[in-house]
This record gives sequence, C-alpha cells and structure tokens, in this order.
Amino acid sequence: MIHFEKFTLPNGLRVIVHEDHTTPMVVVNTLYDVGARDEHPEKTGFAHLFEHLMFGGSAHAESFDEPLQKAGGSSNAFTSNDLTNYYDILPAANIETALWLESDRMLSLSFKQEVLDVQKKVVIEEFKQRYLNQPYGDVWLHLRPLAYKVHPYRWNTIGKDISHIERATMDDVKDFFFRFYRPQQAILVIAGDIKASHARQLVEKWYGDIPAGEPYHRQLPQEPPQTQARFQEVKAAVPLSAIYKAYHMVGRTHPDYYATDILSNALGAGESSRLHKALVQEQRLFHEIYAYIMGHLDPGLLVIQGKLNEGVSIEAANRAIEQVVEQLLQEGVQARELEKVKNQAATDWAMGNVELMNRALHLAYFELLGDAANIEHELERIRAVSLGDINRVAAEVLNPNNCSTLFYIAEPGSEAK
Amino acid sequence: MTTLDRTQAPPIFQIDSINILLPEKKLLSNGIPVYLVIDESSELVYFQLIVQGGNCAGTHVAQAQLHSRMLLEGSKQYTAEQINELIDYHGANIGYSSYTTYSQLSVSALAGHLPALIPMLHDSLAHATFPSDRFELQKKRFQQSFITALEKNSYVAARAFKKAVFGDNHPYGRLTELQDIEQTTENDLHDYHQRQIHAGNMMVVAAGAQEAFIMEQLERLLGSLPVKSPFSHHPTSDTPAPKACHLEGPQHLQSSIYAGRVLPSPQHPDYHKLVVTDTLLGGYFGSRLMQNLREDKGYTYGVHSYIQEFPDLSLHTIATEVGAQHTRDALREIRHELLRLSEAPPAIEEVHTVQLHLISQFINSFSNMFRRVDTFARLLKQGSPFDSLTQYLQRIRAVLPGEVQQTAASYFLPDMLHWISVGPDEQA
Repeated sequence: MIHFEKFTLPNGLRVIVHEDHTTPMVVVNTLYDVGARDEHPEKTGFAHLFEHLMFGGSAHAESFDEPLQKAGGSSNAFTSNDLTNYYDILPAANIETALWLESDRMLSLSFKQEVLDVQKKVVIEEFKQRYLNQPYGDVWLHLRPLAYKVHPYRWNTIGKDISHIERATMDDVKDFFFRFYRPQQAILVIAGDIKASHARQLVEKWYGDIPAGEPYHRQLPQEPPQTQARFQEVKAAVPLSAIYKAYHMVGRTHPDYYATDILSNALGAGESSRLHKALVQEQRLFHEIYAYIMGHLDPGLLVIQGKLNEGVSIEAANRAIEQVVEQLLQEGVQARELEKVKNQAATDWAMGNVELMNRALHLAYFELLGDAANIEHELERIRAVSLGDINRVAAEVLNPNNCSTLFYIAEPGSEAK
Repeated sequence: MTTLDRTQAPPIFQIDSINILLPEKKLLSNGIPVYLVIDESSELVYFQLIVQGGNCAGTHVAQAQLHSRMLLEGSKQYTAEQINELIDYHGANIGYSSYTTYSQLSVSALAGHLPALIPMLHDSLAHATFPSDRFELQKKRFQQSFITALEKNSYVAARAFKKAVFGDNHPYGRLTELQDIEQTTENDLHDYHQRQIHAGNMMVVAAGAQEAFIMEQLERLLGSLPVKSPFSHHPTSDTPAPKACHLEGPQHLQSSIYAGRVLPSPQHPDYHKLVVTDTLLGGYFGSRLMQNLREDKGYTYGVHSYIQEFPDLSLHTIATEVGAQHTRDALREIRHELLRLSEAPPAIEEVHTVQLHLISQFINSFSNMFRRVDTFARLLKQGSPFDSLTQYLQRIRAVLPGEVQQTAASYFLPDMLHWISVGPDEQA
C-alpha cells in the first residue's frame, strides 16, 4: 500500500502527500502537464529547452541549484513527449528551501538573456552527445517521423531540427512559460519524513498566492490509422546493422494498454522471450533483440529492435523477425508465457516502488492519468489480462500494414552528420 | 496572516548525526560471512554474493569476463535455456559480472519465488559446465559489444586513461583485448572457476523481511561449496609519471577528456579531505568544473570528477565530453580550476555546501534496503571496516577551507595528473 493524502489549492494546484518516516529525507516532485507533444511544429525542442531554463533563476531567487545545494539538496528533471518532471531531494528539516525555490519558479522565471544563451549551447551539446555522437543515437530522429505523420509524437523531445533551438527568443520563452507552467497544469507530490498536515500548511504558504493563469485545452491532431507498411533505410558508421520495427498501439489509459505491454514482453523481454530465443540463441542472426512499448499517453508504439550479427543479410533478418511474429499470431501466446510475464510485472512493480523518489513520481503520474488512487490497482489490472485479450490485441497491433520498419545499415566510413 | 517575503531564503539546518544500523554478521556452515539487513515490510529479497579476485584473478581480463558471462549458461543439471526460463518465469533479476577486483552475483526477487531459483543457482556455482555451443555464442556477443564500444571516443579515452594511470604492470591497469577474447578456451574457464568459485573467496550482503528464511536459502545456495585459500592481490606500487596525450578517435563531433591520478586508499588520513576537495572541484552540479565548463561556457552537457576506491588505493578521475571545437578551451579551463583551487582557500559557504551535499548523499545511501546492501557491499569490496561509517559525518564536517586548498596543492596540481583527450585531430 502506498498511503497518501490529496488536496487541491484554489489556484488549481493538485497536491499529494506521501508520508514515509523510514528515511530523514523528503522528496518534492513537481510534474508539469506539458511535453514535446504540446510544441508548435516550427518551435520544437522547447519543452526540453525549458527544463534547462527552469534552473536559471526565478523571480526572487537568483539561482535554483545553489540555495538547494546549500540546504543539502539535489535536483534533476526530465522531459518526455508527454510531460516535464522536476524533483528535489533534501533533508526533511530543510524542506522549505525546496518549496521556496519550486514555488518561486512556478510564480515566474527571471528570464535572463544570458541564461537563455548559455542553455541553448548546453542543449546543442546535449543534442550532439546523446543523438549524434552516439552510435545509433539518431535512430529515433528517423523512426518517429516515419511512424507518425500527423501527431506531434513525430518529433523528439530534443526537437525536429536543432535550428529551432538556435532561433529560440526570450519572447518564445515567456509565452511558453505563462501558457504551460501554471498551477493548474502542475501536480506537486511531497514524499518522505513529513506529516501530511504540516506539508499542507507549507504548500498553502508557498503556493497559495500564485495566479491560476488561463486554462490550457489540449487539442492535438490525432494520428490516422496506418494502412500500409512503411519502410526507410539509412546508413551510418556503426559496427552492426540494426532493424527497428514500430507498430501503432493504444494510449496509456486505454483498457488494452496492459495486454499490449504483456504482448511486447512475451515477444522480446528477457533471454527466454520468443525473439531472443529464436533469433539470438537458435538462428544466431541477431546480436541482441528486444520488444517493448513506449508508454505514451496518446496512442503509442510497440517496438521491436535488434542488432544483427556481422555478415547476416538485413532482409533475411527482417524476414526472421516477421516469422517469429507470424508464429505468435498463429499459435497465440501460451498460458505459461502469460504467467511468466505477470510474475515479472509483479517483481518490477515491487522493485519500482522501493525508492522514495520513484513512489513520488508514480503518484504524480497516476494523478496525471486521472487519479493517484489508481496506483493501488495497477498490479490488479495487469493480473486481469487474459489470453483472449492478448491474442486479440496481437492480431490488431502486429498487422504488417501497421508497421514502420527502419533498416539502419552499418557502413564503415560513412560519417553521422 | 503575514505576507510572504519571497526574497528571504528559509533558514537552513545542518545535520549533526545520523543513526546507522550496521548489518548483523552471521556465518554459513562453511564459514562464508553473511551481512544481514532486515526490512520487515519488504516483499522482496535482495543479495549480493561477492567473490574476491575478479578480473585480477584471471590470466587476462577477458578470462574473468568470459567466465562471468558463461556462469549462468549451463550446469550439470540445467541447460542455458532452462536457466533463462526459470529466471524469467519467477520474475527474478539475476546477474553475474566481473569487475577489477571482484566478481559479483546479484539476485533480487519476490521472496516467495526465491526458493525455486536456489537449486539452479547452486548448480551453476558448484557445477558450471561452460557448454561449447553457448561459449561460441557468448564469445561472439562479447566481441561485438567490445567492437561497438570502441566506436565511442569515451570508451577509447577511458582505456587510454586506465593504461596511463596504472602503467603496463599494475593488475588494475589491464584492458580487455580482442585477441584475448578470441584465444580464451573452455579449459581457461574451468581453470578460473576452480581457482575462484569457492567459499574462501566469498562474502554475502543480503536483505529481506525474515532473517531465518534468508539464511536458510543462502545455506542451500552456498553452504556446501568447498573452502580453499582466498585470493590475494599483489599490486605493484610503482605507477608511471604523469603525461598528457591526444588520440584521434572514431567520433568527430565531441572529444572525450579524462584526467586524474592514483590516490591513497580510504584508510589514509587525507581521504576525507580528498573527498571534500574532489566534490568541490567536480562532484556535484554546483561544482567548479560544472559551473565553469557547462553553466558558464556551454562547452559540455556535463563534467564530473569522482574517486573510485580499491582495496589498496583510490583512483581520481575527471571526465567530460565537449564539443570538438572546445577541446583545448576545456582542457585549459580544467587546468585553470585545478590551479585556482590550489592557490586560495574556498569560501566557507562553498565548503559547507559540499559537506551538506556529501552528508545528504551519505544519508541517502541508507534510505532503503537495496541501498543499504549496496553501501555495505561497497565497503566490503574496498576493504573498509563498517565502523568507518559512524565517523564519516564528523570527518567530512571537520574539513576546513584551508585544508581544501592544501589538499588541492598536494594532490591536484595539473602536472600531477594524467591527461587524455580523444577526438578529431587536435586543432592547430
């Protein structure tokens, strides 16, 4: 059981408090309901650039990190296609330092030009380090626009084109902030060594006077069903060729989400999974191969990805994947496979809630999905999936016409640019 | 209600003490020590089996690494396929890996599933067979992972750095080499297994809800393993003179920079001063290197410095990846920060920030049973006694700004470090 209390401030800020007195620390987790999917197609990469700017000083605090570090705290953040999340961890006695800093940057950033200039450079280096200077780092720069033609999932959090970041102006920054970084777009979780009543008092003190702002009504273009197989080939200076196959699937809150997750695990999670057994161990076509789902809020992707052994033809390897998929469709997922994947899910769930920080993030995330209380039902929902559900979903998702295939071909000497 | 003055930072409270519950030590019937962390609320069991020796115990690094890759690939009673199926079916996370001075079996599972895994794990430790079919497969996968890693400047730089710091003769400086992987035979694995996998080399740190249950399972797993004389390290004390060198690397957009040196072990009286000095230099987000290279200049996404502890020495490392055009600028700025630190004592506030950061991290390292196991296991691997924990907080807090400067001047002058950069041809 993950106990918590929940309340909403008049300005719309949703607050969750989870007490855990086994550690003298406290976590302050702030989730903003804005991600790369909310960006303008000509100003992509903004949600992520913004994450960097949030550390560059706010209305009354010159710096974010320095006072937090002085209080023994540390912080970090991440941006996904769906959301932006900030977390601080510090000794519980110093929680007010985190609330002061977090509430102040929700009130307003300092909007300093030099912060924007430096963080643009840092993000460009991040782009190089994570996407360009990394073998296979640019795969999703190709795969997203292949799988999505309309929905903003077609670009990555780093942005469609780095020039969007280079061109970002302070007006863009202000506009983004006052549109998305408002209390009613945020979920605050306080977890750790603090009494819920005390936490509530402190939250009212520090967040009560922040203006609610205008509500944001998300209206994103939805991806039409894919009716024809898509294919792309790229060459890169990597040691092993690779295949990526992305199939459209339902979004995070759809009832079939869990069945799709289990399907992907049966296909390609772990050394006893179908793909690994057939293609790495038996046929030895692949160096490694996995299947997994992207847990996107809007309809996402089930992905099969593998690196080929040297000398294996990429067409033959692709056919071999398709054969494993066809076999699964023909014979269906077996009862023991289902049991296995459910056992794995039970361990993963228990492991995933060991860290206080993860529990705080999970609570915020389930609140974003609709209600933090559903965190208690997650495992039941996984356990409730039947063989019938999985095999129905398999037939829908693993349809060849629903698939985008990327051949990523190793070509020594070709330079990633 | 008074109005809120947001210009005033809330008061900060220092942390004077922390209550650390040390693990209870028990022995298995063949003498293997087990350090127990009990968390009655947990449904999980987690343990680390530490086997002394690791890569150092092999005739070369690849021998130990291939042994670790093959340990769970077949035994007298189980095929690789059965082993994988058992692990996955019971939802367990099980891994065996070899590091410089130790190897480690790490197991986590829901407690109810653990008993079903023990016979297979025991058979793997007692009667691993290293089937040739699987050996060929693992060898090939290892080679390919290695070749892939060599495509990264950071991996090339890390290797060159290790070689530079330890030289040709020190066992910690040995590197994985392609021909070693190729030439390793099944007999080499049996030989390594015979020498290494026995009770005399083993220690366990384990956590879960029930002591009796954990001890019973560990006894089934390990209690019948033979006892042989333990592995002992023979490190040489001579390390090469520092130098700087630039290597042309496989990637062109960014250069990878490594700098650092060998330092005394955690038992040395300067150790806590070194930890504070290193952290102030590059060990947290507000560190001088991070502020200069990332936040001020935008040369890099991140720069870090850290100390790794081994049984008889520590290794200090500064590492970063910078835009290739900034390679020289970044090297210059790192040198500049090292000199600056040796020339003037830092402000007392900066030292306090670092101390509280270290203490928070320290507290965090005990915040749940997984972290406690990892923390205690880390101390065992580096040969530090657990009672060093009870003094840690006071020793970190005792370091003065003048001592930071002194430490920087005695250990971290630019000419005392080895410097490696790997990237495109050095600019004119």
